[in-house]
Amino acid sequence: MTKQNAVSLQIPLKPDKVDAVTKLLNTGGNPAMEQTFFSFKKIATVHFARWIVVPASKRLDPSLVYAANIDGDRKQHLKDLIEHLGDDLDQIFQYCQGYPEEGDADAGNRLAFLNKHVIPTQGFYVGAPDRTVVQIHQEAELYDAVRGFVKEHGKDWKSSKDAYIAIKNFLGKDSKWDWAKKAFQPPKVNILGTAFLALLLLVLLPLLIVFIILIHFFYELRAKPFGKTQSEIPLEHLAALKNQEDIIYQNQLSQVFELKGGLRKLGLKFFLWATSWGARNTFVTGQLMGTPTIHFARWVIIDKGKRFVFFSNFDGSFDEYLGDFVDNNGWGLNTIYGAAKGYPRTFFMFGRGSYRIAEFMGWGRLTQVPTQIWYSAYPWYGLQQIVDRSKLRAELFNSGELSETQIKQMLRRI
Amino acid sequence: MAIIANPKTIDLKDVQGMITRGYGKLYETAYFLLKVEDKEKAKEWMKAMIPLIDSADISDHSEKTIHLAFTPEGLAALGMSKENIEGFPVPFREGISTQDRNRILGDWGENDPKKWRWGGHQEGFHILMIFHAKDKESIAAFLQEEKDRLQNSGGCTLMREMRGYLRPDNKEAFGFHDGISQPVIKGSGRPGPENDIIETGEFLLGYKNEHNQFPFSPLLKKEEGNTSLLQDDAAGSGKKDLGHNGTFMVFRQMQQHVDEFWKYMEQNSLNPDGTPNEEAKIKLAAKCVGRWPSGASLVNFPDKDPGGSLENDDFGYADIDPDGLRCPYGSHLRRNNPRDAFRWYDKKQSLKITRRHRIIRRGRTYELPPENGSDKGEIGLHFICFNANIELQFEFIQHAWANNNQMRHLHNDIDVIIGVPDEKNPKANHSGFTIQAEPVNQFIDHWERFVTIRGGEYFFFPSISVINYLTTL
Repeated sequence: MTKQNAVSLQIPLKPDKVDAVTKLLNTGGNPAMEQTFFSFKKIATVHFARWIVVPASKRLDPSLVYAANIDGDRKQHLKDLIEHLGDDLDQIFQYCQGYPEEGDADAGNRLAFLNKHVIPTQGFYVGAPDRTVVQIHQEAELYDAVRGFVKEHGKDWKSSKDAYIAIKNFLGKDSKWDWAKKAFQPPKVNILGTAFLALLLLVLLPLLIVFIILIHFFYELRAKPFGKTQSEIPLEHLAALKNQEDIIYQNQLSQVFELKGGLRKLGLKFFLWATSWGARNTFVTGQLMGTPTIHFARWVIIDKGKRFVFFSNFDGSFDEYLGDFVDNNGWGLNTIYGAAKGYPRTFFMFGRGSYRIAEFMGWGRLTQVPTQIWYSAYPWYGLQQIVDRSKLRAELFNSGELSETQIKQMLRRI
Repeated sequence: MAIIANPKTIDLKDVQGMITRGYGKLYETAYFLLKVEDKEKAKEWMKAMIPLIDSADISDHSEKTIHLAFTPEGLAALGMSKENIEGFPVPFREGISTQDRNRILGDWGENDPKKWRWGGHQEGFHILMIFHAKDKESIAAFLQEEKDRLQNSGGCTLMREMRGYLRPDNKEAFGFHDGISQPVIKGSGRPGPENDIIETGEFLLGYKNEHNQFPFSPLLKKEEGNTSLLQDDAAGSGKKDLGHNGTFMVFRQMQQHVDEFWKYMEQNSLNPDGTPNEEAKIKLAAKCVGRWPSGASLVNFPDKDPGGSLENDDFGYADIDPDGLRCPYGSHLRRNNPRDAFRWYDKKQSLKITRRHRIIRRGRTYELPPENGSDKGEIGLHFICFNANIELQFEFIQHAWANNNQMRHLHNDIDVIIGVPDEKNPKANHSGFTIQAEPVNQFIDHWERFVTIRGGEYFFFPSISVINYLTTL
């Protein structure tokens, strides 16, 4: 079984080259449908990937951040990048600090440079864990075939059992589906892992209460929220973001936050750790605390702890996505983003904040930056459909004989 | 669902009547798009209009009414400063047609605003004037009077006139009873089903909404006009609120291809021997719409239309039809108001979410004579809706629900009535419709579009006192 991993890089830019590199990256496209520059399609293990320019701030240089969601491990991915996109990397790196001058770059140099700029990913969520890009495409093809078969023959079947047998026979006859026989089950909630996190939080509860009180007096009362709705943001800023949105079924979100210090930073690290733990053990069936549209999301601390970024790949629009979170677990947002400067004022860590939805969305837009290159390996697949199709494959190929109830449930999802 | 009391807390005398009323007995409608030519004369004309505007108060029940709505250019033409116009929400300021909005709403291809008759920045118009009257004779006289008045005042020119009507049986052009499920504004004094009484701030600015927040409202930034006519910002900023008791209006002219609609239904419901099956045809259409032509719900009447005319709105999906076997998930009704069964959420969570995305609809049918050598006239709907937040209500419903080809377990189905696929989707021309059934679902693919957008715009629909204020700029 192949696990999905996050690769994050941050590379300092030469401050006078921001425009040049932005222009270059923009030729890669968002969404990158027909890529001419930095064509991720050449690497079959990439689910989603992006390059963004992180603007300079008062004390920080501008930089590039690269984020890829891949099958397999990072080392191989960096090698793949050099093998398939080495020349494109060179074009980007000429604008970066510390890259060997023209002529000196070879594969070894490039790899060393990439390795040097790898940064850890503190929070990581995978919507459909344990599924490779290839598998996701194969399962989509399988679903289409099953649906076509049901459409054509559905009238002939008297019972769900009839349907099940007919579908199994239809698929069994064709060696095209041999790949599906390879053992696979979508992951299930890890009860022990979930219990461990719950227990840990319970044990830490007294500490957490003290923490929340300190946060209240030392952070919340002194917070300086941006206090702006989406309608109070410069139209050009909004337009630059919206021009990259709602083109395919999915959207991207790239946000850069100034990180508060002290306890808030400590809290952020803990909650991101807990989120990642929850993502690996609990939220493995296609939803993150009730939000069912996220393919991959990550939180990465950059600039040596001065800022952090959030990158998401999700179905639907910006408004739908942020609204979904507020509808389902606004308090979860508050624990994490309370650490970001300008966030709507929280109340004892969990309250208010994102529940002031208009201000929350305004903050979301103000911290959002354009994503210069954004790639999706399956731009038209919804996350729930990916999950459904894996279930169908497992039910038809990897589950032995199904019970009457299981068959009915399976047929409903076709 | 219990009908519960809904005590009056809003100053309905200040609210334009159309927000709370459908004018079910005033069958004839007309719309004038006006352009302000002379600011001062236009304001004088507006002053004369105010007494003719019906308020939402029950004591106001004239047999002919006027309502006024404004574009941002209209507010500017009446003398509102740039600073104050910039205080309005972005969708209203930008208008219905921007690149991203075209994608969200599905306004591409045949729906491309470049092909529209009106709106979408094609012509500068400033004021929308809406007329309701009892019958053809009374509206004709009414319109003539008002045209004369416009002419005499010299403040505005009439750029476009549109006519519409409500059928006495409330059926829209495809033949389905329309306008049944409407939210009831909390505080309007009208009792209603518990789940349909929605927080005032979803429909009127200056009140709390379903997020327990005040919706974003245009506050006065620069002192101008007689500000004593304006209310203070209810959210407590200390500023005057131009939005109070007003809202935003979405207007879209939707051509309905009625013959194509029924032909497609017929072809996909033929008897095994290839002959048409009238009953199956109506059933298929009802599955697509989510109601029978009479208005009866598929949840309450899964097999057959009980006939007559039914305002059948007393149902949820969660208990009786969780799997869509009666009313398909992908039907027009269930998509656009999933009621108590959204995603896999429980009833409480479903209702919490769906209540945040409701609109008040005031659509009426229109007909146009044949043009360009065609032997057939055009029929369709002047779709009108009211909402306090265009992005989270009208646009959300159109994009996240009607145009979403992957709701629930659907893989490439959009709303058969108003859905539009994504332009770049390679499967855009293969949209399906899934009828949940036992033992297996039925699929009907390769749908045509039966609705074409022919015009539209976003408007500010102010309170009566704010209309008054506009005359003092």
